[in-house]
Formats: sequence, structure tokens, C-alpha cells
Amino acid sequence: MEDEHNCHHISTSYSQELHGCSIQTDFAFQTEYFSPSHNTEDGMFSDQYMERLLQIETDLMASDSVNQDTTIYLEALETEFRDEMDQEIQENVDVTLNEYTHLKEVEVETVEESRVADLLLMAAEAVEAQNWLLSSTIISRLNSLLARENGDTTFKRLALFFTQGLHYKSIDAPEMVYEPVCRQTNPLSTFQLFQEVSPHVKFGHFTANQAILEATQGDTDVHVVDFDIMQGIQWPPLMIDLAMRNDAALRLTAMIGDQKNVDMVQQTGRRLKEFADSINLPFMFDQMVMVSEQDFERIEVGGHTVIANCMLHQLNMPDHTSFSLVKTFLGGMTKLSPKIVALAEEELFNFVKLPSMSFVEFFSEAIHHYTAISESLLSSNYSGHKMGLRWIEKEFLGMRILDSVRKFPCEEKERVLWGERFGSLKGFKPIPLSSCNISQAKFLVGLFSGGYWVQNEKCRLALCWKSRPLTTATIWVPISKSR
Amino acid sequence: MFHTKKLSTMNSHHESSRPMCVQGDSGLVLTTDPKPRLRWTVELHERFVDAVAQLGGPDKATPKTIMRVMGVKGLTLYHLKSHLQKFRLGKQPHKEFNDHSIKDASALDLQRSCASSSGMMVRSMNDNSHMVDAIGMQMEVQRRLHEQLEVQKHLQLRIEAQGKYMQSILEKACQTLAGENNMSYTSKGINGNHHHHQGLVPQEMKDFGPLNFPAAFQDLNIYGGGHHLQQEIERSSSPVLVHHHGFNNNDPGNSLSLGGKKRPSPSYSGGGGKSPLIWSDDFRLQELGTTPHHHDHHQIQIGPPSITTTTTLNSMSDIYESKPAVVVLQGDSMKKFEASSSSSSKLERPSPRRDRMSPMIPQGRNNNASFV
Repeated sequence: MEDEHNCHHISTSYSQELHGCSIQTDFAFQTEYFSPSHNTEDGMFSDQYMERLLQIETDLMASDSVNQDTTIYLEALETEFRDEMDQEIQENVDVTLNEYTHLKEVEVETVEESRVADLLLMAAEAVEAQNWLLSSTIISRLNSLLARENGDTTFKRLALFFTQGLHYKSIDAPEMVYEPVCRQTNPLSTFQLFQEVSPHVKFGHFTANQAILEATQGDTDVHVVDFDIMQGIQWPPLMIDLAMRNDAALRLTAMIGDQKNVDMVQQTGRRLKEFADSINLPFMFDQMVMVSEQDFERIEVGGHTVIANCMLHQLNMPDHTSFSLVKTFLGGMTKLSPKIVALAEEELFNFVKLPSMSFVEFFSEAIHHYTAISESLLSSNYSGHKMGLRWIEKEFLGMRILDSVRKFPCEEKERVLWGERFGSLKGFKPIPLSSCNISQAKFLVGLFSGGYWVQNEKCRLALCWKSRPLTTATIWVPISKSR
Repeated sequence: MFHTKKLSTMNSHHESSRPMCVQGDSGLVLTTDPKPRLRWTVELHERFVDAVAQLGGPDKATPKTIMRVMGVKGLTLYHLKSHLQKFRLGKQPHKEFNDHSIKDASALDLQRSCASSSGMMVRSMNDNSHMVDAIGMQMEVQRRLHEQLEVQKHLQLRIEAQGKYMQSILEKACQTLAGENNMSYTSKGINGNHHHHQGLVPQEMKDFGPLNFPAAFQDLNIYGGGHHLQQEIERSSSPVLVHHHGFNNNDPGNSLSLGGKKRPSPSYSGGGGKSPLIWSDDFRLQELGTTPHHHDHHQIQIGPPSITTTTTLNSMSDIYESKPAVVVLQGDSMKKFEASSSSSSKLERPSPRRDRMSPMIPQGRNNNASFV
């Protein structure tokens, strides 16, 4: 009876159906193979049966439209021959059935995913061409496709954000349009989690710190000007190393891009001071709101070594305002003639490549980039904490996708302005990273499971995940300045 | 580092024209060049290391005490002073020194080990060049290995430092949270929404565990964890907070604090292979108190902290009490924990942040200095 079905995916209603009706499918070979032939010898019978199954399997794999009828068909076959079948054959059937189902799922998924990817790119092209009619059609098609929840893959989840981003871009929505739910969680908290789960942030911090230590070998007073201090977690490791030097002192100047962060930065300064006191390191903290390059002239540099620290890979909102802030920062720092500039960027917002990318190019890069990050999170040490990782994905990555897609300029005049922002490192040239630094990076990524590895070429140290560079760290020194 | 080669020795009483080492009555090997230098053989060095270890490390040991402990006749303070100095320096990342010392030792050995006749001298010079090459390579390899080890050690220290700092941030956030809860409890009453959410989410968030913890504190920063709140907390008798203090006071180096960073640190010193970021299951328990708060932010627009957190915090204290049963990485910290949970007077004392931090960090520093 049907109850003895080993194939769990068939519900009881199907079974009843099978019992009652004759199987009608669209397959061409049906008439040829379907007539039940009860052969006398089991051996011959089983061979023929297996042959049929294999044939069916190959045919199904080749076909483009897979549907449930096929399953019913196989079920029917099984029912038919159940009484005559050997246990072994039955197992073979079941195995084949399972494999087939699995393959079917994979195929469906792959087909769907490629459909989604194609649609996304088409939509991006439409948006770039400002063909709003076409783009809205494609976007609604995407929405319906993604809403079906046929298998929840990383790519599909992210595709939702990409679609949304395109949508906001096409309707040129202001920021308030974001759903309250998404906007609710403080981006800093998700960022904090993100930096625990993956080596992205630590990579930038530790590489910069090591370069700073090497550059200030023998200097007593180290003055670091930090672009975006956030919670200041980059600095305690540096402080520890400086404290070991016996006579080093650290002064940290935090530049603030947004007025509303002033309190937070102040608090960070307090905490860093406490930490420094606990390790007996002479430490001074000051902060300044950064409006224009002239502000940098107000920073006193009494002839001691100045370092510029620019950790861009932790940017919350990679948009034009942020990039103009970066430009201000780097321009201002040039005036102070820093010994080195430590820069960490997210590969997607690579200063060299970004100005020349079209929107569609950026969009497809972004898809690859964020999918890689998402997958790297899911295959990390914390893969057990699925809900948590999903949350990071949604809040942190999702927000960034939305923002980056929305704010990447398409229009001509915007792109001109955009291009202007990336000449910031004009007065500097990159220097190669020391072998110590590279070894440290390798050890660091080795601590995180998953396909992380470090690539070092042409003075750029890149944190990669499975063939995709995610974050790069570079060190720059001023050109033609003899120090 | 201190490679010394064993050489053939002769009784010091014998006259010898060969430039070899002689072994005195006391068992010391002295060279016979115009200025007798003590040769630090492997055995002698081992005895030296033992004595130093007995005395509590190269920083604590003095030449005088070493001399007494070693009890080797003919060993002068001068010998010990210089050897101790080298030993101390050798513990620091000073690879040039190592190179020199190795070069010195090996070159000297080579010269000493050959016969005095000129013919043999010439031949031995040829041997020297090959051997010097080989030794050069070996030194290079050693230098690299040494560098790698240093890098690894430093990385561990740096990650630990970052962890400690983050932990301090989390503590403050937790205090702020509890303080606000106390305040909101008295002034606001129960908010139905929050209950609802707590009911919905806890299972997921439990699984999420330690990762959740940092999430909450950021929200709290925005909430304006001012200092006045902290004083409020210190006046209040919330058992959980007090537990926090207790932990940190009594477990300086280690594993029983919130935030999770500290726990893996003992495993660092065990060997660089393990990931320092392995979370143990126990951490999930700690995080329950903050999860509703986090989740409030996640789901609702307005977000005064939930009073349900207070009740969760109380249940947290139950969890803390059961803590000793849970995995602890070091035996001593276990004792410390028990001591802290039993002595209530200690727990009640509000400790200034500085005290809490300083036991942790300088200890780290000492470790650095001795490079155990």
C-alpha cells in the first residue's frame, strides 16, 4: 500500500490520486516504456527495470521543464512493480528517486537563480538607461519570483535587497522611505558583530597597526589622526605594543564627519584613555569635527611623527558624502605631512577602479562582492548560529547593498562629481608591506575557518575569500619628501 | 640561540699546545687562549636554566642567587652576569643578537676543532667555508622561524588586548542597561509590547548566543549611558551587576567574564593552532539578559528598554550561580570564582573601572616581559 512509501516527499493525497487515476504524463517515451511487462525471470526483469529508470533519469535531467508529474510517474512505476520487486531493486529505486528529487531541486534552484541574476542585470541596465517603464516591469517580476520562497539561498536573500535598491533608485526615493523595521537596529551593533565573526575588520586594523609600529620605530611620540574612530577598537592592540617600548607616548586625534557622532567619539576617547592608563601608556585624546581641509591646520603637530589612519572598510554608508569626507581627510592630512597613511578599503569601493565603473558594472561587482561576504559569514566558525548570521546579513549587508545601489551615480553630471572625489591620494605612493605584516595577516585569517586567504601583490595586501578579494590594506607614503 | 657544541676536553692540569678547551676539576670547560673564557656547554647551560627557573625567571634571578643555586665551583659572578644578560636579551625578539651569538659560537667551534698543524689548518679552512655556508642557511631558517613565532605571539597579544577593551565596553553597556531598567521599572511600568517580543524571540536569540552581546551595548550608547546612571547602578543592589564586578575583580586574566573574549585566552598560551574566537556554549547563558533589549530595537520603532530585561537579569543571576558547574578552562580561576560568589561583601563593593582593568593588563605585560 501507499503507506509503505519510503519516499517521504510524496504526501498522502498524491498516493490516493495515484491509486485512483491512470498516469498521464507528457513524456514522449511514456508510451514506449509504460506498458507493464511482467517478465518471468527476476534477473531480466530487474535489468530492464533499471534500464528504464536510468533512461527516465537521463531524460529528466535533460529536460528543461521539470514538474511534479514526473515524480508522480516514478511513484506510479514503483507502485506497479512493488509486488514483483526485490528489496534491492526497491532500494535502488528509492535511491534514484531521492537523487532525482535532489537533482531536481538543485536544477530548479540553479535555473531560478540564473533567472534572478539575469533579471537583476537587466533591471540594472534599464535603470542606468533611465528606462523606468522597463525597469519597473522587471522589478515587479523579480519581486514575484523572489517571493515564492522556493528554496532560500543566500543569493536570493541578497537579491531581494538588490531589487529593493534598484526600486528605490528608480523612483528616486529619499532616505525616509526605508521601512521602519530595517532602519531600526543601530548599524553600529551589527557592525560590531560582523567584526567578530569575520576577519574583515581585524585585518585592516592589525595590518595598519603593524605598519604604524614599523614606521614609528624609534620615535617617542606617535600622533595618529583617525578618520573614523567608531568604538576605537583598533587602538588597544597598538597601545599594548607602544607600552612595551618604555618611552613611547600616543596621541590620538579623532576626526568627526558627522556632528551627531560627537558624543560617541567623546565616550570612545574616555574609554581609550582608561585603557591606556591601565597599561601605563601616556595617552592624549582629542577630537575635531571635520568640515574642510582648512580645519586640519588647526591640529598642532609639534614636529613629532604623524600618521593618518583611514579605515574605509568599516564605512557604514558608502555614499558620496562619505567619499567627499575621505577626500577632505586625505587632502587635509597632506598638509600635515604624515609619515605614512594607512588605508583599508572594501574591494567593492576600490579607489582605483571605482571612478571608471559604470553603474551596471558596479552592480554586478556588488552582487558578487556581497554574495561572497554573505557566504563567508555562513561558512565561518559561527555557522551554527544561523539566525544570528542571518540577522547580520539582513541588517548589515542588506543596508549596505541598499545604500550602495541607491547612491551610485548614473547621471552624467553626478558622475563628474563622483570622479573628482577619488584623486585624494595624489601626493602619495604605496609602499610594500613588511614580511612581518604579511605573516601576521596570514595567521589572522588562519584563525577564522572557511576559505579566507591573503593575497599580496603590488603593495596591496588583500583579504580574499574563495577567489574574491574582499578587503585590501595599503600603506602610502608622501612622494618626494625626504624624511 | 645558545648553541654550544661539545668539544673534546682535557684536564686543565695538562699542558697543551693545541688550541682546545680544557675541563677543570669543577667540571667547567675553559678555553686555553690567552684570556680564558668559560665555555657554556649544553649541560652547564641546562643547569643555569634550571636554576633561573627555580628562582622565578630571568628577571627575578640575580647572578649571586644563581651562583648559589647552581653550586658549580669556579663559576664567577662575572660569568653569570654576562650569561644572564644574554639569556634575558635572548628572550626578547632580538634576532641580530642571536645571529651573532650563533655565528660566534659556531665559528669558534670550527676553529677550535681542527688540528694545529698548518696543513690541517688549510684543509680545515676549506671545510669552514662549506660549513659556514650551511650554517648561514641554517641561521636564515632559524631567523625566519623566530620571526614567525614572534609574529604569532604578538598577534595573540593584540587580539587579547582588543578583546579586553571590548569587554570593558560591554560591561559599561550592561551597567547602563541595568541602570536604565531599574529606572524604567519604577517610572514606566510594564509595557505589553516588550513582553510579547520577549516571548517570540528568546529561542532564536539563545542560539545566537554570545554574538548578540555586543549588539545590545551599542544601542545603549545611543541611549546615553551617562555617568549618573553608573552611580545609580553602584547604589543599586542588582545581583547581576554585582556579579560582573565580582568576576572582573577576581579573575584577572581570564575566562569567566562577559563578552567572551577572555575565555579563549588560556587556549592561546596553549598553542597557536587554536582559534581564539571559539565560543563555548556557556556564553549563551550570559547573553539572555540583553537579548530582549536588542530585540526591541530590532522590531519596534520606539525603544525604551524593556522591563522584562530586569526579570531576565534576575534569572541571569541564577545562571551565574550555577556557573561553577560549567566548563572552566583554568583550575585557579575556578577557585577564584567560587571565592567571589561566596563573599558577598566583596561583591557589593563598587569597583572603579581602573581597578578592574589594571589587574588584567599588567599581568599581560609581565607575560610579555618574560615571554614564557
